[in-house]
Amino acid sequence: MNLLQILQNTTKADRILILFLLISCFSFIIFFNKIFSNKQSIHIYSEGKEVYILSLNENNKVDIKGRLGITTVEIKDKKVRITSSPCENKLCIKQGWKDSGSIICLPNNIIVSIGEYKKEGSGIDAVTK
Amino acid sequence: MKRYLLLLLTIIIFHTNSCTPEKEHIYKYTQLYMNTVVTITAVSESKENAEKAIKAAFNEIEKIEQLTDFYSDKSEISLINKNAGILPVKVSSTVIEILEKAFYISEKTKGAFDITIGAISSLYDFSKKIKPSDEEIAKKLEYVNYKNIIIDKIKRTVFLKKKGMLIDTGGITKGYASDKAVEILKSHGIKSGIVAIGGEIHAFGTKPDKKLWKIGIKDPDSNSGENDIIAAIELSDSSISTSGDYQRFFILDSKKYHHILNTKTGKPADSCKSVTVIGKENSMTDALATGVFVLGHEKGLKFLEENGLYGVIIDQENNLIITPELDKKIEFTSNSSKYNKS
Repeated sequence: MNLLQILQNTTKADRILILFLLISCFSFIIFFNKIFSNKQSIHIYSEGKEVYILSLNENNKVDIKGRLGITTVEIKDKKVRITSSPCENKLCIKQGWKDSGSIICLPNNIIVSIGEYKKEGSGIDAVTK
Repeated sequence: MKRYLLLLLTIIIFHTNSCTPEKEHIYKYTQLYMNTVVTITAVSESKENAEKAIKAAFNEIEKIEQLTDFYSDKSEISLINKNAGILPVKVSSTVIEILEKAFYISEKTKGAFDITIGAISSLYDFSKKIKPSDEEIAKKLEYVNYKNIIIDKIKRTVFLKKKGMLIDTGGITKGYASDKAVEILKSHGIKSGIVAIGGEIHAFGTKPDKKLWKIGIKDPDSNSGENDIIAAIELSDSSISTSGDYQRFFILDSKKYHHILNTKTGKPADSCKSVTVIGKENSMTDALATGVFVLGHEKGLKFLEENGLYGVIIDQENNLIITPELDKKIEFTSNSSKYNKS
């Protein structure tokens, strides 16, 4: 029995079910690629553990518990910044808004990494800098 | 009919849940050590084993940091510095090994790389825009000479001949630590991965799809992001390091003061914007990237060629120079078009 014969033997309900399953699968793949693609995502690490993956396209404000206390990260208009931190020198706050690269708070052990690499760097596993 | 539908459903579910056909997966973890971001990537069939190996590798990096931290009173390097001109200090075999490697690179580069530059680099504060005066530098130059480091491998002691000398192993420690982290990963059965300590990268084995690891080289003039790259190169069982004038610097009176100091003048080396070196050991590429930067683009290129190393140099005139044979391995991005390739 070939595929054509199989399809000929299906009822209308079977075909609708197959179509529904195929559309669901592709929508699922497209949805996750869009939401979690590196170019749009923000990865927040606290003490080495990834604690948040957020979208750069959605305005947001999150508190992250670090080694010293709470660091607040704000996402607005496709940019990200640290608005408050328990560290002494506040160098992370002074870095201001960023739309690429990363913001690091060494004393509180927090890393905010924006995307991974630029368009041309897609497929890049690491960057020497 | 139901049987076929069930089969089709199973195929669809299986397809959605298996992104790659390989059994191996890439596990990537990030921590902060040595005042930088450390990312360890390991390929493994077992998440548990990958995590165990990565944790052990991070522990090794932390151990090396504690032994060598220039700014920590408790490190062995600080102990050596405190006893400069006084007495030899007994240290761990790790510190002996790092110092021997540093000494070797100093010899090879005729002092362009020299960890005794610590006597002068400690006068700069890049976060507070503080630089020493010419007089202050001149006074300290006599303490910059790697030949005054006495390493006794048998007694495992280190002695700095002159009081006032300071060694700073920051130019080699990250590379050394990445080599050791790779050893640890391998000892836990990890056959491929990457250890990246800041820009010091040691890649080994291949990706699950058997392709080589692709490493980007940062664009030194990029203002838009630290991951803007000028080129990419595929590597396996190799290391790559970059030294650039953009890593730690401040601008004062329209002049850029960066952290890579010329060991002869005590002032920032002024010939290059960035130097990338590719070789086997990361401790060597780390130190050589600094050494070649200090040598300058002409002497540096000659050095790389004579020593059979691959490298990319961008000088202050925006000339992008690569060593022979590297053109077959390197892939430039459009960011590189602003540089004059030769």
